[in-house]
Amino acid sequence: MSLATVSTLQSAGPLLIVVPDAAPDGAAVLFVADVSAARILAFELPPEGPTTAIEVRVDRLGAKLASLLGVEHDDVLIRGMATHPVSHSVYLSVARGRGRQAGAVVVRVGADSGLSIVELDELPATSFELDDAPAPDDERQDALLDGSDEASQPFEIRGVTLDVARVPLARSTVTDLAWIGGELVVAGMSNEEFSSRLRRVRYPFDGTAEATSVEIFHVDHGRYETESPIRALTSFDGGTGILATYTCTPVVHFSLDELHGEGLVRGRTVAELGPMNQPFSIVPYDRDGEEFLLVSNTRHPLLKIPAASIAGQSHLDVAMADPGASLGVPRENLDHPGVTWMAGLDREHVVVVQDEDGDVNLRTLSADVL
Amino acid sequence: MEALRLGSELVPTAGSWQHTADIACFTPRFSPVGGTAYAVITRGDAGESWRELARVDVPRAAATRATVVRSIDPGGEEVPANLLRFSVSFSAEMGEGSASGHVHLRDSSGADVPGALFSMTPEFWDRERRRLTILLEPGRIKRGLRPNLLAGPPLVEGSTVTLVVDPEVRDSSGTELTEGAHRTYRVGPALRTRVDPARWDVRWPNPGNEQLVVRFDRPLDRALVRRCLSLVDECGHPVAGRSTLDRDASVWTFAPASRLSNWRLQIDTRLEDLAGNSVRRVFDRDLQRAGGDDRVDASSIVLNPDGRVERR
Repeated sequence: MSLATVSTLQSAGPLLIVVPDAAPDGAAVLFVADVSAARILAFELPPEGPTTAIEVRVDRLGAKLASLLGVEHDDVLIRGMATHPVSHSVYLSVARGRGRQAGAVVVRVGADSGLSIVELDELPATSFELDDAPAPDDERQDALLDGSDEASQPFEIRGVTLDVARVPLARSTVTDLAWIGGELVVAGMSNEEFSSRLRRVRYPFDGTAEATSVEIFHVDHGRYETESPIRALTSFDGGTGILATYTCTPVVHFSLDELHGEGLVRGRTVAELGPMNQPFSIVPYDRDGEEFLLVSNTRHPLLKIPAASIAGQSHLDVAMADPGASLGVPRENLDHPGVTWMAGLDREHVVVVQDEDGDVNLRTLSADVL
Repeated sequence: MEALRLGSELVPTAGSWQHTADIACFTPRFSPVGGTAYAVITRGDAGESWRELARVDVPRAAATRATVVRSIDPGGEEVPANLLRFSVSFSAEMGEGSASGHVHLRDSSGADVPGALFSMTPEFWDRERRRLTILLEPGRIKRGLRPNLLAGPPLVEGSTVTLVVDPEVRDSSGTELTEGAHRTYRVGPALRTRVDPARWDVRWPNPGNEQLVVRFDRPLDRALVRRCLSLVDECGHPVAGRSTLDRDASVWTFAPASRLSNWRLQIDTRLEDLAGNSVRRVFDRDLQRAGGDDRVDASSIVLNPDGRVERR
């Protein structure tokens, strides 16, 4: 993991915009997960003025993105979304095209709902590499005897020449980014081991900014302890905690205090969201002076969870098969179908990407309908 | 072209216009994508409707299908009922996004096993974009979770399943495969114990046979074997050599490039079997069972030729 020279964004992934304390003039920083390159890019955005607009709305967003990017509709895929905390503009990371022609683009949706390309290569940027580089002293080789692998090279061993390739390294991917307790928190998966690792990364990336990786376990229903990759996460309880949703449906609470140094941390499972489902985004908001969390899902409806119930929710410690088994904190299904990506506009408005009528629309949901 | 249907909300394609005399030249911000149709439109003023001046079709590049599935792992004939993942290796660099919906798990009647495979967003490719990892739905494998209780595990001991890769998966040039591929497995009992290197049969190199041969206690994950096993010298540096792994990933052979020395076998404890059980821990630990929380906290285990097992 190291500071690296930034080049063009290779693949679109989750986005996050923050105004870090250390940033000059309170300028916002756009973090982009360059998923296939396994790195986080940080771009310093030019100042954007405050707005009084509280609603961002773009009908037929998919068709408009396709037109802007000069591709057909099915060659556009939204891969992440973030809101600017000052201007309330919305940033979308978008995969454009397929195969070798594929590119990654960040599109800005202004308060006037106008779409524009964010020229990332013109912005000051730094990057943080997630994967370990190959160890310089690692001379292991793998045999690929037919020599068909482009990476293979002739290798002589006791008079016999073989085509061999280097031992491959695992590739991380990023599932979500959050700004918690003044640090960038990166959740991801590996293409190899099925592990749960949360990285805390200091910003600005300065070459000495060591990432702390913590393994995350959770106990389900008092019986089975497992680890699995975190899908989405958010700051909780004023930045003292993390609420994480997993690939295998639980919602788990961690105290930030526990996440220090290398090692193992066990989280408290506070809810299970149900079968055949993956969470998409988790976003906090306020309604009538009370804090709630919204969870969007691949299969289940948009869910609303009262934040106060999380502090009082003990471990789910009754086996699911037993009478009286709990699904954890109370949750309410909301009638906003098709919601995928979400980002808070302010504490009372959430911007969502919503699949409707064969296209995707950008909508702002205010707390009174949530 | 689809954008024309946006009518008054039309969004122009990003790029720049240069006007010289009676010529207007458009330079697109992004290179055109094959298979896309563009329209050049104009209008007198903002109140008028658009008038189409020309259409530009960018043809899809003619490509010959050449990419094939090279292998499907696990490579054996039987998989545990709590199998965690398949991996499919292709002969060329692949594109992203086309695998979803074109990799299936089918039962012996040829019907899809519903909800068995984990939704592939994002798709899990290796760095060379040649190997695709496909997870079975972890919520159904893990005991005690609602998907497991409501829908049951995706694989049932005693049954037969087939992983099918359709030819519609596209390579990095956007071209489909020469042909699809499939591999059929018998489903055996679930595996719920740690991978235990102390139980491996290790034959150290000797003057008569200068290869290290390791027979594991069960088939392991092929990709993780390649990464997690190494022969190291006294200082812990990996020794150069050539490794091979047999078809079902249960026998690993390493031919060192130099003569036998004071070497030992180092195992990264992240090494997993086909069910996701690692050297460190069982995939889902039953804490109510005696020894259920059995876990190795060391980051590596070292096997010595004299039989000593060290945890580091």
